[in-house]
Amino acid sequence: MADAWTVFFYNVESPAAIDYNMASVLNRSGTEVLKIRRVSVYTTRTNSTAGSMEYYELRRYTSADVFTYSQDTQVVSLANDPKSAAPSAAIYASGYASNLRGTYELLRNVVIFNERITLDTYVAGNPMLPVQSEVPLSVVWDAGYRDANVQPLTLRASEMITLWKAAVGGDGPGLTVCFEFTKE
Amino acid sequence: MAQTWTAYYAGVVFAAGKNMAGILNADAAEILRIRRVGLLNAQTAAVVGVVCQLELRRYTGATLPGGTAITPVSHDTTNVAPATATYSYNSVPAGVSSVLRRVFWSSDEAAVAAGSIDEIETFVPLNIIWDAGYGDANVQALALREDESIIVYNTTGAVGLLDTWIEFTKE
Repeated sequence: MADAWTVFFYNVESPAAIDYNMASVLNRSGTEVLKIRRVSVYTTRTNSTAGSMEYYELRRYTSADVFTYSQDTQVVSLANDPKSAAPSAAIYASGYASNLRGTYELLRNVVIFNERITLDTYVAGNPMLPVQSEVPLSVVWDAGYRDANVQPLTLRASEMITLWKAAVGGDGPGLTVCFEFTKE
Repeated sequence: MAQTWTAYYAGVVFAAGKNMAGILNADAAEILRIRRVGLLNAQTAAVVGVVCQLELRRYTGATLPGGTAITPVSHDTTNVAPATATYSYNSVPAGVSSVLRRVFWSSDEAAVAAGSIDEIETFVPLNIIWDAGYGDANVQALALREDESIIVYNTTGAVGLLDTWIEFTKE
């Protein structure tokens, strides 16, 4: 069993502008391999809003370590076992929209219904929000989960997975992104 | 663990009688195994959608000329790509076809204040249309041997865009 971590980006602010890194995992180690097991995206917005559609892309970047981090927000990973030795050179961050480098491949288009959840409003207002906020339904990537024949997405040196704001849509706080990964 | 790829066909325009996403294996030695096939509604522009009817087909004695090629994403950048596979949409599938699934699909865009099938089509877990053998080693995954193809074929409906993803391994 490989050591596993969860990286939780909670209530990330979605900007009005496009080309923005909402949440990412970057492996800068030449010896460690990180394997992305699952990615979930959902809304945790609590403030009042008119609601809007948001559009993102789940991307893998290669040669990604030339990003700079002057404007980013970094979070820490949570080890599933506190005794696990953390990845030596990984960065978990959102931001640095102006420093896009490297080449990317599209893994998924991700559509988000952005409005706050309120009591008793499954039908009125925004009926998809309660559905979207169900954890099992928020999974957008899980290649190889529970199937040892299928490779999970692998991050080698200078490779990064990111949820990228790629199209004009709504903005504001409340996007939550969760990466589950292992280290080998 | 077999080397794995995801072929992602983003924003393909619906048309009647159109191959929306296809993979042809033309290699005599390699076997491609289709692990999962999923559809997504990720279009951003407002359209007046229609009900489309899709078929997931496997062709034997297959060819797949023309169309627009895409490059699948290798799950590990050290993987060695299949030797003679073709990945394309709007190409012309030929051969002997068998239907694996028939799927009805609304081609309208998802809207924030709605709760119809258009919105349900944006959820990845709810729109996997093929996963035989996934997580169960007793069940064969769909195999593509030499000159066999898998095609997501739209029989009717000509409005809107479709995303398709096909996850496959090589042996």
